[in-house]
Amino acid sequence: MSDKPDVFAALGDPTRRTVLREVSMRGSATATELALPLGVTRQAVAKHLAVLADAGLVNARREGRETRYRPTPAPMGDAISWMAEVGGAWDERLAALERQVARRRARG
Amino acid sequence: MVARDITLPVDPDEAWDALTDPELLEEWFGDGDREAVVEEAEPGERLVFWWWEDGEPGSRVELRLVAVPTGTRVSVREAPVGPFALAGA
Repeated sequence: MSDKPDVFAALGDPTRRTVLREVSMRGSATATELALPLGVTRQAVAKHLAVLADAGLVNARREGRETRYRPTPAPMGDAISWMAEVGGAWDERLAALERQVARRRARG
Repeated sequence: MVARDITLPVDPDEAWDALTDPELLEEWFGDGDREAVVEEAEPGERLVFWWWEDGEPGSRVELRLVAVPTGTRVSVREAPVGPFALAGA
């Protein structure tokens, strides 16, 4: 139970959710491999991956000069990730909806 | 299951328009790559749809609108229908 807040904090950032999705889709990835397709620096990706690893969402394994990450195979972890990711997406959508309704009201 | 509730400062009909008008929808929704099938649509009250992305298990979304003194309560419930269905329910 104690690591749940870490999971939610780790998935609270949209870029980090994208990084996790990419790692899951590819099966494994290094910071260098993700930097170009995601359009962020290798250092930024490495930081996101480290946070995801701390939260237990990915496993890190040293590979030469690089660290390779794989998604953690844990059914309950997957469910928690699903809830955090889907919940986070709704938070963003509903905030946008509130802003949009406020804008329309301002225009009358 | 994911649950979120917000209150919009408009009546249910206007809230429904904001939720479902395609142009407005694009402004706040922004999930272009998903396919969706509407299960039920009761204007001003309830919208239920299923959606999924290629190769991923889908989920069922229920949006409920209820008039409250300050506007309209919008409740979102999203539940997975794939492999996480048991653990995530």
